[in-house]
Amino acid sequence: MLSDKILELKKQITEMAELVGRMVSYSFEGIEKGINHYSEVMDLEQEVNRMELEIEENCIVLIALQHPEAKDLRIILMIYKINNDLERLGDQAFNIAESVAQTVGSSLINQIPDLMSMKNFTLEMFDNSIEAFVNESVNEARLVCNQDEIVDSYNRHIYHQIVDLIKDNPANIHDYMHLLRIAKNLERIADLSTNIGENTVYLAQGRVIKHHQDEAAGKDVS
Amino acid sequence: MVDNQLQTTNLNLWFGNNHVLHDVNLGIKGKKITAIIGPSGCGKSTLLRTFNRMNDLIPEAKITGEVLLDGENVYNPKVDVTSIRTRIGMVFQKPNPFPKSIYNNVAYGLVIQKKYRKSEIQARVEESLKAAWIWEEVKDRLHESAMSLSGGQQQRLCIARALANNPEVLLLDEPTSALDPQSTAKIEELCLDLKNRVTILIVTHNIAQAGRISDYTAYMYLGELVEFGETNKVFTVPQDKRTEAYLTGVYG
Repeated sequence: MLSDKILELKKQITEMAELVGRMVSYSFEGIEKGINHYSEVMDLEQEVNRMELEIEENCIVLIALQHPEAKDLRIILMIYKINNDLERLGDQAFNIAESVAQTVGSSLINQIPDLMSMKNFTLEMFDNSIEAFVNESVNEARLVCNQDEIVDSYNRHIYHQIVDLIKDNPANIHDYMHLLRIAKNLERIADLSTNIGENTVYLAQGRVIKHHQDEAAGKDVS
Repeated sequence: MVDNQLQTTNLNLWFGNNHVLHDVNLGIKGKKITAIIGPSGCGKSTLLRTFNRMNDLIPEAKITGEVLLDGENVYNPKVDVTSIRTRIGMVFQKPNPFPKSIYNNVAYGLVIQKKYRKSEIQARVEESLKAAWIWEEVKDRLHESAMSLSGGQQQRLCIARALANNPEVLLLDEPTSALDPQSTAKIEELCLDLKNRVTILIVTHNIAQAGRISDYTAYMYLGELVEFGETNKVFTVPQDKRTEAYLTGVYG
């Protein structure tokens, strides 16, 4: 009975994650193909918000009525947290859509090719975090956590690039600030994907790997 | 139009001078599980027993108000009590099989009605034992005494016995409080399975059980229906302070 309900919750989480992934991809089509999907992304964000409330309610009811213990309890608590992270991921994706909408048609993006690589890498990381969660795979989850540093270095690198570009072309500062904002939001998406990875390790093993860099890197400190 | 399969209207009950139920207005939806919870002595079993007139057996009991089954007052003097009890079956706290064979326990209610052929009775016994999830355990020993069964099996036999009459409603009065956790889980799952064919009212001291299986929860306190609503809501955001106190174990 409880296991069916947990499966249902997991399914809802993957549906919500799929919407968030689509929000980011749609947003970037503005940059890649010049197609402005701003209003679709806005609709998707509202759908994500609606799902957040629904999943939250389902978790509360499940805890109140079914008294889950041990792994059942860990899964429901982590779904509650991942649900919250997904809603914030939706916000980050929406921020990206806003900035993309401001720069549609601008060719300045070509000056920062790393931004597209960063987007591809971040989205893959996000997809992997959800897959790790669905499979309750500790190995996949740890891999995601380890990839966060790569996205951080993309972000630092792009920041310096944009600072230099602004110095050279101060007239374009408006567009550059939006590109910087896009990078910053991608970096946040990677952070939240890392949270999902950490929460997956906790639900699978009951081990807290947050704030423990050595453990997150897979080195056994015990 | 009748919304609720069962409905009590301004129901009051006294045992002698003891006013046990106070103006209870409760509507029970068909094909759902409704749990009645509350501390000992709050009147929840008494309320349950008003639905199939089990309190009639207590001489000093006095009832005012109505109890409607599909819109018909079960306390109407013209109503045949036996037919009400056929339509509303009951299972008690302590398994109480008749000191008869497993087969005859389930067949009994049908046999005494003298209107079924033997083959019909056989078919109904098998179907009821299957519906109560005990067929596989007893099919090879149908003519052994029911007293030889374990407590959990006896309780499922009692459910089969009630189901044999094709009741519309099943009243369960603390059906698992004498059973071990495994037998309890089986009865709970059985209740969820039976929901498609019969309306279930369950009195339980086990709050977690009410949460696990019921669609609606009624909270009784001192003979009063304090709160009634969807279990999802009652268990997460109860509207009455007394319900909150009971659910969180402050009293009761």
